[in-house]
Amino acid sequence: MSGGDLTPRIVELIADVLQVEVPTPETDLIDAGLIDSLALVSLIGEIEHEFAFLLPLDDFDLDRFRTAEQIAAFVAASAAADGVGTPAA
Amino acid sequence: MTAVLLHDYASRAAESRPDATALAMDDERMTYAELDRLSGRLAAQLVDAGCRPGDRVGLLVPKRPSAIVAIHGVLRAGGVYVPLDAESPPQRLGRIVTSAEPRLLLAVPEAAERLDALADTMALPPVWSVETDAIAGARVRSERTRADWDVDAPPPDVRIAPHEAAHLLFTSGSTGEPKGVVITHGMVTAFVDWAVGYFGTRASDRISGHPPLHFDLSTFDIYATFKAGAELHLVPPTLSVDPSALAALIRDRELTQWFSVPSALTYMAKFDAVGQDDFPALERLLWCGEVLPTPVLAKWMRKLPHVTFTNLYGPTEATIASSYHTVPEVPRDETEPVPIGVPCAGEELLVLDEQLQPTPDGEIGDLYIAGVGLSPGYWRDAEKTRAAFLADPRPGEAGRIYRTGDLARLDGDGRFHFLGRADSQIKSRGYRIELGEIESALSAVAAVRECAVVGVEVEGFEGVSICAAYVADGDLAPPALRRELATALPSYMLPARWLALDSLPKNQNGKIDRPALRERFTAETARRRGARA
Repeated sequence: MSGGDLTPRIVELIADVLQVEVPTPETDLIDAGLIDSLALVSLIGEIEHEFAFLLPLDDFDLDRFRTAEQIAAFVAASAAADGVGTPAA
Repeated sequence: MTAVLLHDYASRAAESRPDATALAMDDERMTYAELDRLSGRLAAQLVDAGCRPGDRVGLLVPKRPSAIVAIHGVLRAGGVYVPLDAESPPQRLGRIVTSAEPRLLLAVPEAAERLDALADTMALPPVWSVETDAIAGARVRSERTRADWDVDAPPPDVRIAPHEAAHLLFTSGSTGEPKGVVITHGMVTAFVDWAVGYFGTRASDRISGHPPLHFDLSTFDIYATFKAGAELHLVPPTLSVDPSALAALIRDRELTQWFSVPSALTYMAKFDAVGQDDFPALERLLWCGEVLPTPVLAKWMRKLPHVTFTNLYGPTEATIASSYHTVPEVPRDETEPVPIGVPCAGEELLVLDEQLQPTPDGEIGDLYIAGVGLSPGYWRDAEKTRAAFLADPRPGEAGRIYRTGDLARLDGDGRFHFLGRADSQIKSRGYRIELGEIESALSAVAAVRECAVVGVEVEGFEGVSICAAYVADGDLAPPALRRELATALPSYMLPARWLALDSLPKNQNGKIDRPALRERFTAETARRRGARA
């Protein structure tokens, strides 16, 4: 299962948590001014609740967290590395 | 000896250390000699264009070296600079510009679109570009560019008195109208004198410039650095969302002092961007603007045992900060908030009851500030000034006191402790936000019949979360309302949580029951968390 499969859930989560409509899965949410530092931390918290594991943040690379698609891929890869398996879409 | 004005610091450094770096950002560096030459030339042209002492000049220039040139140019012309937040929606910006009535706007080419939008809401004064490129909007075009003002001319010989205004800073107002705080030269030099002495700032320092220029904390960075003849490293605004890039900047620039709002520190800590014994050059870490959670402070202090940590406290109306507390050791009790400490030189903190009598030691009361930091008041608003700046009630004291709206108590060691707000103002990312300003913007949306905005304490990073409840005519989902509100308010004022209701909860007097609303938001958050866990 690729990260692309999680994209709709991430888009839904962003709308649900931040009340922000994601224009497209490829939109740079930070450059577009839709997500700032506070929103990013809220979103990470909600992702951790939703998928029930902690994202690895000690080596956080913002450039892998700019679009809904990238976030989905990051969550899928982190879940796999965490040993919880790929979250069900 | 003539009294010191804010721009004298940079001019003196230019005489004693002309080739030393004054400003650095990205790949750009500017020496004190260049800053002095450019600001002197801009000042000459401003005077030539009719700028007189006391005239306001608006700055629509993002934080970068040319913004510091612009600030010094305006001050050297005897003017009053008004830093404008380019991120603020045109509607709000328009109210600020209308109130400030600037003779001129200094801007950058990228601001063309914002200026065009602003020109739709009001008649704009002449606009100059601080850069080489002209401002070429559909409606707004720059009258002069750097090619016009960067020409050989002696700097103007204008001297004003230290009690005269240097800048106007606009903050959130409870009725929806941003209010301007008048800041004089003398208010800032008094704080800078204390700070440079207390922190031992010297020419070899490399100091961060993290807050935006429309934030009064930025004036500490600029003027204390220049008084010491040190280097000011402006932090690019784009980094604020990137914790590892912020940490890399402190490390790579070998900064000796970092000063920011707590949320930047919390953000870096959250992402573990700081290593053990990181930033070997760093000597001091200071914060101001809101409460830094003690667990976050303890984490930083354990990581950086070689650094001194100081909490600064104070509202814009009393200039940058009025009290300080240097934390002596890693807090043992992480549930205990950090004190706001003791007054800076020339300032006084008073805890008073409703009759303006001192509360017995240890008891909670309203926090007032007296002394050298006090603003003359709000720009062209005698009523608000009278409400917030009172005659000193103590026998034999002829001065004024400022009502902060904060609650505090004094402990047995003479240290003050902050205990929250007495009104509906909240702090988020260091910004003062009047919930009333958000409510009036929401009420202005046609489909909103009724609304209420409350601050809800949340665990962890956010501190206070802005929560909006509303009743709409017809179908109005939160994302659509949020988008609408973003045209009226800057993003830091947008509510984080929303509730669309059929009616708002009311108390026995028919007023909106805010405590009940806060409970609903708390329950709603817990419910959602529970559903997901």
